[in-house]
Amino acid sequence: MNTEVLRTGSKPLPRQRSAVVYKLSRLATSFSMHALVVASLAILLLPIVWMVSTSFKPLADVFSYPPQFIPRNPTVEAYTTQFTGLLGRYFLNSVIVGLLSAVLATGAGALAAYGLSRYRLPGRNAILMFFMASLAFPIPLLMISMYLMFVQLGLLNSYIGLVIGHTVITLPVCVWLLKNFFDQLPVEVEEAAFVDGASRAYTLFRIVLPMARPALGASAIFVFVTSWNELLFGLTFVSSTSMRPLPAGISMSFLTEFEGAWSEMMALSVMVSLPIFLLFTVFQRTFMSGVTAGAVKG
Amino acid sequence: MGFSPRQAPVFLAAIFAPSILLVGLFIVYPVVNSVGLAFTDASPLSSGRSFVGFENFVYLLEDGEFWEVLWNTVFIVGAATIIATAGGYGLATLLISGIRGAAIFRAAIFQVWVVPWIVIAILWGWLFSQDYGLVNYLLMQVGLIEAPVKWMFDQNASQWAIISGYAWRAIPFIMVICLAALQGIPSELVESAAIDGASFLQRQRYVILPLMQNIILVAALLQAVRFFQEMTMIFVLTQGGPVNATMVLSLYTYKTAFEDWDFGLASAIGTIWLILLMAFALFYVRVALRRNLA
Amino acid sequence: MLNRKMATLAAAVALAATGAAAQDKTELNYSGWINLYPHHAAAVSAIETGFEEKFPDVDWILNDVPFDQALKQATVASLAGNAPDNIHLIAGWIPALNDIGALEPLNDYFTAEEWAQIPQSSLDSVTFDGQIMAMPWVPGPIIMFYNRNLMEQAGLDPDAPPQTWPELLEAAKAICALPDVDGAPIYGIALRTARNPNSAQWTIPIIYGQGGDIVDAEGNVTFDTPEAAAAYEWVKELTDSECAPSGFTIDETRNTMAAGRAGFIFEGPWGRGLFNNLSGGKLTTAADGDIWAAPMPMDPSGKRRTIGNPHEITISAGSEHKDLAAEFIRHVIFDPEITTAYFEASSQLSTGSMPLLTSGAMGDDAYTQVFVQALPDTNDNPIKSPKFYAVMDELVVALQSIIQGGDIQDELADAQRKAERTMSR
Repeated sequence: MNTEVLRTGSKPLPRQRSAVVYKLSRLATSFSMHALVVASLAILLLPIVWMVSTSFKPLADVFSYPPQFIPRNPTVEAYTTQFTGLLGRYFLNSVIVGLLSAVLATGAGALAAYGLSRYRLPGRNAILMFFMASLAFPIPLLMISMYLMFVQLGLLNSYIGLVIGHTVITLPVCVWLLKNFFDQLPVEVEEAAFVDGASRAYTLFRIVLPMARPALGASAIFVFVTSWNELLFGLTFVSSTSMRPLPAGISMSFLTEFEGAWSEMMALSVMVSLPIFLLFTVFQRTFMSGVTAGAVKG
Repeated sequence: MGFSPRQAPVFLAAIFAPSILLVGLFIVYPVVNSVGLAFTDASPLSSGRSFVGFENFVYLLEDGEFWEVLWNTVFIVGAATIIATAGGYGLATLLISGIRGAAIFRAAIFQVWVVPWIVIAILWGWLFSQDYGLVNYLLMQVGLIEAPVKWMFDQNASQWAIISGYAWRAIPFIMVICLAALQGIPSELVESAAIDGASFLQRQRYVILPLMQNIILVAALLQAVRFFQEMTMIFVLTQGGPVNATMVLSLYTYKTAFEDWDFGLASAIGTIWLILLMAFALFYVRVALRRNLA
Repeated sequence: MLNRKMATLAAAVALAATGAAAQDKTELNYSGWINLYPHHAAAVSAIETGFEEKFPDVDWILNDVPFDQALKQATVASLAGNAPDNIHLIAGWIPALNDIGALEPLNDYFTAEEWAQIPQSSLDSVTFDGQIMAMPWVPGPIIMFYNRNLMEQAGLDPDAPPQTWPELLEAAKAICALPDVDGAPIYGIALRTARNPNSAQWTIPIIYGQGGDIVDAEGNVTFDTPEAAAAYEWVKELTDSECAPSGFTIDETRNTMAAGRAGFIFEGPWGRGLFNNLSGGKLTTAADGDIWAAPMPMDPSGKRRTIGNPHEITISAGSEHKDLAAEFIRHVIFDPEITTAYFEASSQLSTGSMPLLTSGAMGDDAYTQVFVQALPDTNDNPIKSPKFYAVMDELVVALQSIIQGGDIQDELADAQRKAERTMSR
């Protein structure tokens, strides 16, 4: 079932009219079904619509009653006030930390996942279970000892400290996701390479990993997005403005400054979401197939 | 299947080294060390630290506040997970029923899944603003409420404001998983049930749900684990208030550690949390294993 | 190919990460919340350019920290050994940072003449074993601001603000009886009651106003007193009748006051700049304007007493440029050009120096003098303990519970119990 799921999961809904679809389609043609979908979509997307709408309003219209969904006096003022060096710096920090974490977690994760997938290691299941369980470890509990360690190592207020933090909270997912992918790659390819005299390292780096590109991509996107989202490490392990990643920077510099200035807050929100939206729109297929495979296999 | 580890010990050591280093240094050691700290009065504000036995645990278990926080966590995480799961499954069922434009709907809903938490926090502050918020406006228009709700000050209301944010963010995730799994259900099964005259609800109850229940449970548990860790929204919006209504374990541990600087007590909270979550994880393993066997 | 792309990417990232570090100038780091309100921008740039003119080899670096996070950030940075050279604090936090050895004693960095300019009471609150750990910056008496227009509309004399706490209660109720404006209610008094230790700190003057205190003769914390109960009863009466908002953050109370939707608010010297700017110039704070300031009401025995929340500027113990950091303090506290620029941009009192507060632009300013007169009745450190804010964090839970209908005695007793444990750790 799993390969089937993986394949269809990555595509738009199947066109062929299977019996399920056929029977249900009678209902689907009914007005109520469509109405239900549209209604739930409206509710789900309302917050996003409201965010975008508010961001294009002058402050005076933000508080107008009844609320305007389509700005009557659209303006980009809220966006232009944001383009300060500080916000740019937060973006840069988040991109740097996100990319480094993505490379580190995906790299380390891929190597371990390959080993777990291909070698009959004693306690392989226990290792995998440990990885899964470690997802649930209380992050503040980790942070307490990490904080004490980072003080000793001088890693506070550095990109490295943040990258380590973001790597360890994502590594377990990377390992699972990539192991599931490797499980589905036919082992014959490697066996053939070994017969041809290729070394194990050569086979891994030149043959297996290039084939795993979609999964590596999904893993890297996952890490990057998690890092982009992460507030606590940024808040606690960083103490100078110039080193803060976006969420910590926003909560430290902009929340007070823009309190009540909702059009500016919403413009800020749109700008913070946009890179992630774009990333997902471009890589949606890659990501969905990778993640559904990992999760569906559970 | 698989190669024997004996064939390539050096290679294996090399490919496992980075993750062993990362996991050992930054997951295993910190957890073990922090569990140790739970039995001390450690604080970065004082140089010495002394062993206090179970004092921290006794204090927590005797203190009403801890139980309150525990209950809030279970309530907020539980309610959000249930709503997200029901919503996500419902949407998946709708989208797979062959309606027009399903792919577009699906793509639109995906966007919700990637909204950064800091954005949700800010956005929810605006949506749930007492005087000018859209939520109060709409609820009053529909006639569900007569006066604006103080979302951030009423204890019940603030919990629901947070729950709605969590659930909103998670619905697409559950939907994606359910869609993938629904597509894998053999069509003959459902078809024959329909030919036998089973209604939509009966087919759900007797054919689809039994096949789906494990995958739904797994997806819900995964999501619940993530909710346990998440605290951006609460940190930005309520700081755990009003009173302690939205104080959840993650924020409580964090604040005890990094605002009160009571590492000993915070470690004790984290340790109890760890024990509870290990029980939770055990449940997860059971469910996952049972599914794999079946 | 992927590998090569990755390598290029990694190189680019590494470059970006280190690129910013190349600097010849000495960097002097300040952290604090001076820049968080847009109307302070002119002052910040005056401070920066003025300082860099005096010391051309120095690059002054501003690290924004919002008020809510300032204590935590200062603690984190100090423990991490990378504290900024100058840390902006309030008096109530000095004991906590002093306790972890984060601060440099300032006694020897300034001359006797300079120290003589600072009121002794202000110095006392930041002196530990004879060592002065902070330089008083913006004086901080918390007093009563009131909206003169609303007073008048409610049939009260705008030139005769309430003198006692019961009078204030009556006035607040009269104002909140005014009809809604544009669908939004008018509050009698904008009390801050969000879950923030600062909300609890702001109730201390109300406890003083009942003739009580939060420490006993031995200096132990006492929340469980009849006076505290009376003070919280006073608050509860206002929130129950919706004459005070429930759960408002600091900024929400300020926005409400600046929107002309509250009769009273308790604020420090920063109030005028905030209200004038947040109202978009619609309201002016002046003796004959829309908003004016008056001393806190008297307690039953006719005494006035309030808390101070004075801003302090400190040098971190770990600073590598302590003399330069002291020069920065000298620059913002004693240079009349800078104190005047800060005063004019922010409309708030801008130095702890009495001669500067009572001469020049500030000397001529009636508003400044209201605060100068309140200074002797001001207690800058209601609990002179490193645990001050931690204890306030316990008290705010009681405050919120009481507003939501919790039993006053029980909640205060609970806060007392928690405070005792916190103090003993």
